Amino acid sequence: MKFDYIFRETVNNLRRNVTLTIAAIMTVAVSLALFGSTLLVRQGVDNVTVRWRDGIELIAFLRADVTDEQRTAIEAVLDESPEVADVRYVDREASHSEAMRLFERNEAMRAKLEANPDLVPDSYRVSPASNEIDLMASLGQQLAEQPGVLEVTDVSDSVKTVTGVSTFAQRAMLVVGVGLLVAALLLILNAIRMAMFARRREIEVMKLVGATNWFIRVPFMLEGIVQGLVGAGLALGAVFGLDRFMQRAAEHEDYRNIMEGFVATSTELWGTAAVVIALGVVIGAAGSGWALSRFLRV
Amino acid sequence: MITFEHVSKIYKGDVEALHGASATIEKGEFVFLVGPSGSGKSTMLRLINREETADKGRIFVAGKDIARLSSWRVPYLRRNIGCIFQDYKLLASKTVYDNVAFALEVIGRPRHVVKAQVPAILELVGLDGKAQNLPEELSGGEQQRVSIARAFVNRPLILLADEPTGNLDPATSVGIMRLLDRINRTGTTVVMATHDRSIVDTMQRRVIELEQGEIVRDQARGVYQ
Repeated sequence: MKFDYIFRETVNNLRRNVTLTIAAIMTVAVSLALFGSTLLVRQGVDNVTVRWRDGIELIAFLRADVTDEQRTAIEAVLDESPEVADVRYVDREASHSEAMRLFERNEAMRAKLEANPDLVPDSYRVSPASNEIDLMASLGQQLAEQPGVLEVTDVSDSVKTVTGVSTFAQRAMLVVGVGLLVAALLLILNAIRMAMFARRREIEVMKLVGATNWFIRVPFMLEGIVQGLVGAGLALGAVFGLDRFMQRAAEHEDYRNIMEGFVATSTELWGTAAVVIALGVVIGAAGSGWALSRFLRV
Repeated sequence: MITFEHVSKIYKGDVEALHGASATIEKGEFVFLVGPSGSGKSTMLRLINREETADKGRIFVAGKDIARLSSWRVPYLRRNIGCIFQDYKLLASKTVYDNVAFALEVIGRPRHVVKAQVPAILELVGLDGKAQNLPEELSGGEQQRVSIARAFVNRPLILLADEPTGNLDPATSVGIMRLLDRINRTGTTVVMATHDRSIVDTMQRRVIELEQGEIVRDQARGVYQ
């Protein structure tokens, strides 16, 4: 009887203000889509630039057949150089597992890595003491000449551009997303307020005959939460769509170099989905809770 | 059943609706509250089911000091108090049956109880043939009977009536008073605020007269004056 009643009332409320309900749901959807996409893009950028975290700007990859003497010589060069602030040695196993994580959803790449674990070599990752590009370039050259060094890579302009542009884009999306989230909250607040106004006589009677506060409130709470959830569901569609787009671009021949690694892992994807859903519920509950505490005197 | 001890109620803007009112109403009594508009009749009724709270003094209902009731218990107090009004407060979109059933549904009564009690109460108030009508299809007297059915379906200890015959012609009013009298005979305490001189004079019940928030007369088997 009770569930019956609550379900019926919630559905009725949602139907009664259908235009306001749609407005609230769409605003939730757009704001959460922006939020989810921002999270996803950030994870993609993090993944593609993972080697360049913590200020690392220079990586010296070692040959598979590097000897201990050659290693000592390379370390001596790094130790003596005044431009070096910090050096981290990443062995083959760590590099391999890092790559396996990043290419979690790229079957071809995983197969290649599985077949040939030495594909990702040992490396020294160097963070510089200053921003002097010339000094770092000369250090890179010095390292490249050392026997046992396979290749030296420095942080390319493209990585810097990707990080810079994405930081800006993320901030802009976050600002718009937060603005829309506030709008969504207010729309839900108003939708619930309208629903309460439409049902003011019933609420009055319910209070008179002794319905408990929770009994009166629950249909309105559910109405708000349903609006938040449906909005979050639509936003998830956008997030998964973006994820698919990123993955296809990463697999595409023409874009592989730029997009390689620019995908979120499945853990990150589902984490994003969970955040979007949770935010939807929170927005819905907060909007209706606010309306109830302000406009429903019991 | 209901005790007022030196109760005062001051509304916003320093309007004193009730001033030091004391009265005791026993179980099963039928009491008229009379007096001009604004004398505090409705305030007394609203204090009894805690729609309002007293600013001074204490009010006991069924042995409990209702000011001390925590807010989550107020609904349970109200389940023991039925209310009817001059404007009936029926839900226009619901049938007679659903209006009465609503009162049981929202306090969580199981379906079989609702199915058994609603037809019985509609028969008691003389509306068993109108269960599927909407309120707008009924006369004023019939609408008031629906509201009495709704107030009484849960068998409350107390029935509060605020000008229940205010919108009705004298003949219809007599019918409503017979119904309230019948409910009172089942042991339900009835407190009724009214302006209707002829009803008070014919019924010959206890009369509490209010004037500017003070009880100026409390008379067993009284008349309107």
